[in-house]
Amino acid sequence: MPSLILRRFGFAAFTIGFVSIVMFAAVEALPGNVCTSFLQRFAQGPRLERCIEQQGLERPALVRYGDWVAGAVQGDFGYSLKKRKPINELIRERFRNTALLGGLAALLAIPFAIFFGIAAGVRRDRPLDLSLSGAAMLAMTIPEFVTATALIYVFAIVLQWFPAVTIVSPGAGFMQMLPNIVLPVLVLSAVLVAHIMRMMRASVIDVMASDYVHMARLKGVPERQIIWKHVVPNAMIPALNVIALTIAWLLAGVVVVEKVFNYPGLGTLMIQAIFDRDLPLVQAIALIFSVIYVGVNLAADLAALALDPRLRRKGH
Amino acid sequence: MLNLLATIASKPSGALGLGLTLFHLALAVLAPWIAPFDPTAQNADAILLAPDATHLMGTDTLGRDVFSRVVYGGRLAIAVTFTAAVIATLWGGFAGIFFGTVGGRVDEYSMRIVDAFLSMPWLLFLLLIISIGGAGPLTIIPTLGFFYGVAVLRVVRGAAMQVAARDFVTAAKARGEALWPILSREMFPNLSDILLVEGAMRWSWMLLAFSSLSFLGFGATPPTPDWGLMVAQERGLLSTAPWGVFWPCAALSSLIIGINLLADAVGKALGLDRATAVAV
Amino acid sequence: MKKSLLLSAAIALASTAATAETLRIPHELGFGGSESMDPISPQRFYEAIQNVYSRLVRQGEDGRPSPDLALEWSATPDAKEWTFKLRPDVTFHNGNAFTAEDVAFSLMRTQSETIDSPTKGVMGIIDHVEAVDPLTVKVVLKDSHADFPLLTMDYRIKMLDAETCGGDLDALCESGNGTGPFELTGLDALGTTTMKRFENYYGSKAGVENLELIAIADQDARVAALQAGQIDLVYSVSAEQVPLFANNPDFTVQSVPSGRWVGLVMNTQTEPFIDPRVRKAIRMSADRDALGKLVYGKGGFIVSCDHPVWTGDQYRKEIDCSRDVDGARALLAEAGYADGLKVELFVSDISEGAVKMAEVLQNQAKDAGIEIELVPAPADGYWGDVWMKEAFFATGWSQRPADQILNEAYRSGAAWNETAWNSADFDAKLDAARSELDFGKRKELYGELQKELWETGGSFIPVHLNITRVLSSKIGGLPPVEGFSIRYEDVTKNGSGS
Repeated sequence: MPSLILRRFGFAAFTIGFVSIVMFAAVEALPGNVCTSFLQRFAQGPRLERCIEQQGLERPALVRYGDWVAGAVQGDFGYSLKKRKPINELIRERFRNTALLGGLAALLAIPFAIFFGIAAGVRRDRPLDLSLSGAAMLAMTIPEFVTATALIYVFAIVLQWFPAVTIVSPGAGFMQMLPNIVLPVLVLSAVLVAHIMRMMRASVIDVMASDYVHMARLKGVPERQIIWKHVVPNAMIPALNVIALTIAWLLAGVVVVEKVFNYPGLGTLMIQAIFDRDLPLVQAIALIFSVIYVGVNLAADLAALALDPRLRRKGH
Repeated sequence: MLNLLATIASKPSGALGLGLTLFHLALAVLAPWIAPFDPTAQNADAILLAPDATHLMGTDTLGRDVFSRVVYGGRLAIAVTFTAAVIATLWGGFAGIFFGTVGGRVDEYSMRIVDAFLSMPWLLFLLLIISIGGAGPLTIIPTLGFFYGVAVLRVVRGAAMQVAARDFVTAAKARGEALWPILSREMFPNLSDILLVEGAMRWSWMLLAFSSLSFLGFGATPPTPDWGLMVAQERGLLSTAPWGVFWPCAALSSLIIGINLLADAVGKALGLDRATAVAV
Repeated sequence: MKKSLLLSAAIALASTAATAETLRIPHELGFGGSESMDPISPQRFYEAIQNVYSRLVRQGEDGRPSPDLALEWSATPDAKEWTFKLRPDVTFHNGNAFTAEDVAFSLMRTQSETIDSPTKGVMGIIDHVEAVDPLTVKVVLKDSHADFPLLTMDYRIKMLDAETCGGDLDALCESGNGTGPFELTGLDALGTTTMKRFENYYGSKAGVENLELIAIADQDARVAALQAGQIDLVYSVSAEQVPLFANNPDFTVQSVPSGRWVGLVMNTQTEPFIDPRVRKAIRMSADRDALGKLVYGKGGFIVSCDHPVWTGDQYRKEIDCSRDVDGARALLAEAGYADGLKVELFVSDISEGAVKMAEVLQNQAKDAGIEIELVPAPADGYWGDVWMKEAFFATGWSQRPADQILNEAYRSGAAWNETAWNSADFDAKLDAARSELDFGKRKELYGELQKELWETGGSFIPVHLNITRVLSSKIGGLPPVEGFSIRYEDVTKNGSGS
């Protein structure tokens, strides 16, 4: 059992290392470098030389990669070309804000999604299922920026319950963030709920068709008990990994949502950095997001291990 | 093929999916003959007109005909994402079949890498590439194709392992047949169905992704009529001119829903249970 | 007289009624957080310096010079020496008295090479400043200038406390210690900057207790925030945004003719714009009236011909700049672009209509064989990161008198010379115009300069704008005047809500 957990951690570390290599290699492989993409048409003469020297670009790629990784491990992502500030300073508050947004959205979405998924799966093809699945389909296909715009119109402009754009000072406390965060969290959750619900529903349907549920029914176990004792726990296990993967992939929506609400998070910073062609900053944020994603997947893996004794045995 | 279409169309959801998809494809192809106006023609005397007989969906802030723009608005998105979907299906499908058939160590180690790619935020990676290579289809198509291909690979590999375990493949292996004939003669025909369905699903989610890119300013650029860009430009006027937001959004969503329903129906008609497929 | 007494009584009443109110104003975050409290810094924090500092002379409601820290002024007949009588009993926020020494310090530091202020070119005409007595200042110019008080009206020529700034002419002074109606309590350019009413203000005390400047970079977001009641006013909205507020009792819409413009800038030292024929061709391809209607709506603009002097200015020259597609094509062919020209244009949602203007020009220039590719850039930090860095980009200027704007944006080497306009001949004519004492001749000289900008300059200034300002109807004391004429101390806010 401990070795199994260790292996999961090992894989997470491998993944992060791999992602960092790919990101570094992509930048190396593409034409140009940090300085030429930043300076654009001014990339010549002393300006280019100064930048290359500052960034230490004359050193071999391996050395630079080593430096970058060593810095990142110690929590030092280097220096932003455009903002002329240490990247750490730029991302600290914003990381917290984005983590708050994503974390709350996941916390809100997962219970609802699991509940709806069970309800729809148990009543497969009946009116409840059809309406839930239909709603999920709509929520999945309407882009986040449209949902966000509509929510702003209704809840911020007509009803004036929540702010339309996020106005907080850096260093604002949680209570000051809270009203600002309601609408962005709702937008993100809507999409998450839809995706996870569909997964959960499918998983429930699978389990409902299995032999032991059949057996239980034959034995006369009450339906309610079958669902909560047998179906739900068993449906959760395969769904968990898929849920983690979905959350990870869908958190890309954070970038869009942050832009709509003018939210001071990593997503808006990343968009800015891309327009500025500030590669060190882009790389740092991309790496941070990857670490979060891998972390979510790892957590799901461990949860699945805890839930399912069979998985644990397989390891031995 | 005709039989398949008939089976799909026999169910209401399948018929709807098929209808919506074909409708949108027809619109995109026939846009120049359908659109009553030049989608980029500006008109200073017709700004933000409500829908009427001349402008079926009203006009936008530059006096352009929204109906014409909606008709044209899918062309770029469909072209970009369809190409990317084909790439994703081809490479992901081939690699998936290969690893599923070969199995063993090669498969095991490759899957570690595939899993690593799967836990990589593709949008951020795409943005990283855009920050060096610039935006545009030439950056977007290969990146979307590659990352969605990884997801295809995972699904197809799972299916391929099941096929590879069947008698006729083990028999072929036992006969000492080379890998390539096994792949092309035994594996591929048995997996083409799942490839078709997978490709269609990925395509629908790529459409959504592309609209997000346009919204962020990395996809279509003005004056190209594009659904995502149209929504981005007109969304501030939701209360006074909702037609500028509603119609492009309706067009985008109906196409995505159409492809989804169609893929579901195809899957069912071919006897695949794809209820557990991940929508990424 | 009676009327103004009544008015001030009403204002006084209103200000007592609205003691604990907070006025919330958005700012554009144009320097991405490096906004400076020094009024002459290139990155001056406009909304903040407007309220904490005061000038010698300020714009009246009609835009003409009216007394502020100087009560009266006069010149020698050759307009070379100007004497300003200062207002007595004025104190800075920290309690220091305001004196002639502070004026001398504040005027001379604009010429610092180290600071390299955008005001350097314009104020370079000052030779030296003498403090005659604590309340009298004599400004000696290098050359005659009949309109010198107009220059001191510049929103950046604020009076700082020489002591607080350590008397150093070459250092930025970002203390925020001024004589204005509000004192700074918290500076946070990326978030919310807070100020409170200055109790010892020399004029009528501010009508609201607190002032908040809130960073919102995106124009759509500012409008949404106003709709949601998060802020109290938006300085300028675009034509299509007006219906969002019209006929809504919660908002007041004001339309003000002004010298403000949003334009597109070609760097005259960079390919392909180094060729004046290319610049002229792009300008000739535009249908300015159609452009104005599309971007600012009917009646929202007045056509201009790529020079910055607006219709309300006494020196404005009328030029014919109607569209000439064939002429543009011919010029392009002459310049070696017979097969068409392709350029990149950097735009952002910085000022009302900037992106739309680019889209309209893109559409119109197409007819002359000019393909413009739009490159979107983010609004926050635009002025630091894109403006004057690319070859072809969007800009926005607020109203300025002819002499000031021509010197500030077109004199060789001026800090905000955004077109990189470099012409010794132009500079000489500028000098001649400033020192010409006869109005008729002066007007002719300024006219020639405007004509030259239309013929060969690098600016595309299709229209001057009627500013459409939207206020929450809780706001009072803000008449429909041009932005620089607003007196924030007179603004009141009522209602119990926040």
